[in-house]
Amino acid sequence: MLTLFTAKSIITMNPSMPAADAILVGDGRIIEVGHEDKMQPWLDAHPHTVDRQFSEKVICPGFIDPHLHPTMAAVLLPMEFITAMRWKLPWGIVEPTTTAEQFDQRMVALHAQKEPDAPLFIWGYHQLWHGPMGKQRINNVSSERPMVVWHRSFHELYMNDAALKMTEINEQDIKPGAQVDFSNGHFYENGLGLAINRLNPWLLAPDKYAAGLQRLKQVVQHGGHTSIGDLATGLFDFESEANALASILDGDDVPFRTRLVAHGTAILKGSQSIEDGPALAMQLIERNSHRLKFGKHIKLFCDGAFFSQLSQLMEPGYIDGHQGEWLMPPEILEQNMRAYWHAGFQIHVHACGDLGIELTLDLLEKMQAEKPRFNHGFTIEHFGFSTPEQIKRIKALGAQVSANVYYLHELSDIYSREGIGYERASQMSRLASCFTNDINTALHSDFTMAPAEPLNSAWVAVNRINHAGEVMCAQECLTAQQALEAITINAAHVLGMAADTGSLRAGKYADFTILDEDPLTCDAMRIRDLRIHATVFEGKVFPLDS
Amino acid sequence: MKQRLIPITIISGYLGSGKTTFINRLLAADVLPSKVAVLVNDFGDINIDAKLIAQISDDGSVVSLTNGCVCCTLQDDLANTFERISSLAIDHVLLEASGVALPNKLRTQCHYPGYFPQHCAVTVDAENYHKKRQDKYVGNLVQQQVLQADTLIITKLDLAGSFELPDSHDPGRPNSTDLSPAKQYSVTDPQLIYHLLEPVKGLNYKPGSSSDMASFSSCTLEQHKPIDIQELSDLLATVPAQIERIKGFVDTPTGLQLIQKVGKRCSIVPADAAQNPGLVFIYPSQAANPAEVLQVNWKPWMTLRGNHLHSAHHPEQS
Ligand SMILES: [Zn+2]
Ligand SMILES: [Zn+2]
Repeated sequence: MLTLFTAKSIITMNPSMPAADAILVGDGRIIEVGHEDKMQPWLDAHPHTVDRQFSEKVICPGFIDPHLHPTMAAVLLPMEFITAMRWKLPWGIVEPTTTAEQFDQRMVALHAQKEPDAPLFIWGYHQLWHGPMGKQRINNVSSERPMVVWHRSFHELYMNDAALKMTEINEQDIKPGAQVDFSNGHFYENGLGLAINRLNPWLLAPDKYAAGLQRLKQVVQHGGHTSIGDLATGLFDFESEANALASILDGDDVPFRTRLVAHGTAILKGSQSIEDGPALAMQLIERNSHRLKFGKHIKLFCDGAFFSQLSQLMEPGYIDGHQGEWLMPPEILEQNMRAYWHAGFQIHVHACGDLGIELTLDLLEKMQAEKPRFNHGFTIEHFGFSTPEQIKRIKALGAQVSANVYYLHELSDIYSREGIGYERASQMSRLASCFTNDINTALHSDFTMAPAEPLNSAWVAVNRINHAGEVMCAQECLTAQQALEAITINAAHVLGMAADTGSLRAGKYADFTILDEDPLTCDAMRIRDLRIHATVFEGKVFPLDS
Repeated sequence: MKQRLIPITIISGYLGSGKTTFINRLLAADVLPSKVAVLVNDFGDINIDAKLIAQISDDGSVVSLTNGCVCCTLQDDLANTFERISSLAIDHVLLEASGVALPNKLRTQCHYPGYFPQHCAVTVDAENYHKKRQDKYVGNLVQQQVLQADTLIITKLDLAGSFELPDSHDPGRPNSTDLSPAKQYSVTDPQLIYHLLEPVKGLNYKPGSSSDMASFSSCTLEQHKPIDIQELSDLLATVPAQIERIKGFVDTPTGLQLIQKVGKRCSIVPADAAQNPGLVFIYPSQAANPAEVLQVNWKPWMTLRGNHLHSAHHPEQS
């Protein structure tokens, strides 16, 4: 049985036929895209129904986030959000909380709603908006209920007395220098390890983790995604993660597929060497199910996180003179890269600062000299701050870019003052240059680093407006068309799925995101607010009720 | 009773500077006192002599050695590993750091409940250091590692002939005024391991307060008559069990000897400079005071300083 969907308009992302108004689907795949009257030969030859439920809607290729972290999301999503930025979640929009007073009011309200005795985890605190946090401030909300307030960056948290008691953390356990301020219930940077260890029974217990993954499933659907990439399977623990993902992210009720990209160092156990990696990664493919697929992909890590100012920068570096970090010695990154490059893998490298990107490109150039490859799909992940010269190198070496453009929105204002200065802060996410140089470029959320809302990422890329309302480097704004490519077909290329999804043409999966309005013609400032009406995954409709 | 904190000796240093070779040397020579836990990044490059292995854990991440030490991989993060080994009977941790870690950051990570960072040594490859410190990507990192070290372990001196730190490491340099120059040891120096298991005095690490450290006490014997070396080594071998360390100088018929004893490992070597002969015995504060026994056993050659049985309290374990 074929189904003919009609629409107000269809955005195909197929340059040979960019627009259409009907799409014929059979057995989960697209039979034909175009106009109803041209499809008669198919309709005459096969039984079919005509579905006009989207006739006033706009059909886009299903959105793709090529880099997020289901495991981290599963830990975060069961928490309550109190955030300075707006977060759209399936169970409600989290409106911005931008003052200390509002933050306290929200804490009181959450405490009043929550069932007695249950610990209350809050995420999203940031001192720039919410003022100094501390144990006493949380005790004022409740000294009976264990409450944990997590910083937006994940790098610090605060507990009240009841939470310290629950986790059995005692004052005499805490040594000076441990990056713990016990009297204030404050655990930061390295001191956070202790807090997380003690909180694990509440965070990573199998039922909690499963509940978190269920929430992630909703988030992914509500973002309008039909495909995602888990860009570091094994981040916490390889086997337990892979098992939980398999039990929750596959099944008829799951409206998206997941490309699993293994964490390059997490797949090695005991005395296995880096050179054993490619064979082990190939074995993972045997676990593939319909929706969850490993591929010939691997994730490697270069420099530290952009959010924590640990990215490696070239001169003049950071304003305060601190240095970034390497996540592995460059020689080890090279050894990993060599093993996977020669084995024909698509390599994804987490690289955030321009020195990190420079190292990554130096190594890629070395690999190309050792063994030239075409269509290798080598991807720079995150792409926080780059130089114009690096854009040319990325093109010359045949690499592609998967960018977390949200950095620009959330960080460019503060980094221009307390980080790297205005020139470089305004030129984060140098994306228009990538398009001009014909580099395949995708947008990702790295969720939970940014909201898992492709339209939000597209909105930032098109408008380049930071949270303070300032346009940062208009020269690097994408067009709406480019931004939509970046969350559909280009993202499919990054995940090695472009033959199957990412655009609408005969033969691909019938993966659609159904919008009320056309993102290519609407006011660019409204892109992130466009209502997602439904998604269609392999021909099956999944309505969104919000 | 106050629980004793386990001291951690950090072995840091950039990739290829000889950390693993050094740890392999310690394991092979069987010079570690018992109850030391050696935490390594992975077992891939570690050679543990099969004769020394008593038992291997189910998941293969912990190897117990016949001398009572354990060798453990750091597959999880450090905090998890500390929790995992806290049930084992150990009194010292030797931690092999990742090649890209900075000593100061490691020190804060080692302030985990039950542990404290006692000493941070950084391996320096005498042959390649000067080239590495100018590297575009890791030059700054390797220089910072050296600046933040308590002790430098100079490796590959046989290839390089000699080694000298460049002037830019001068402690007088503006942004390193709070640093003292790290003590340098050749990796082949037999004294190195004793030095590494000792706390650092007045060097880079500044404890926040005395409660930061394990609480140790000591008593001191002053020598008034030379002692035969054989007799001396017998006496050192039979000191009361609660004594964890002994150090000092002893006058013998063949000259002044430097004594260092950690656990069961003891070294007696000719001293290179004139020193007042005498020995310091270090034991956990909560253990019985061994002064009375020592006074009796060593009486022909030595006397208890100040002739009192009251031991000095050593909050900083030195
Ligand atoms: Zn990353
Ligand atoms: Zn990521």
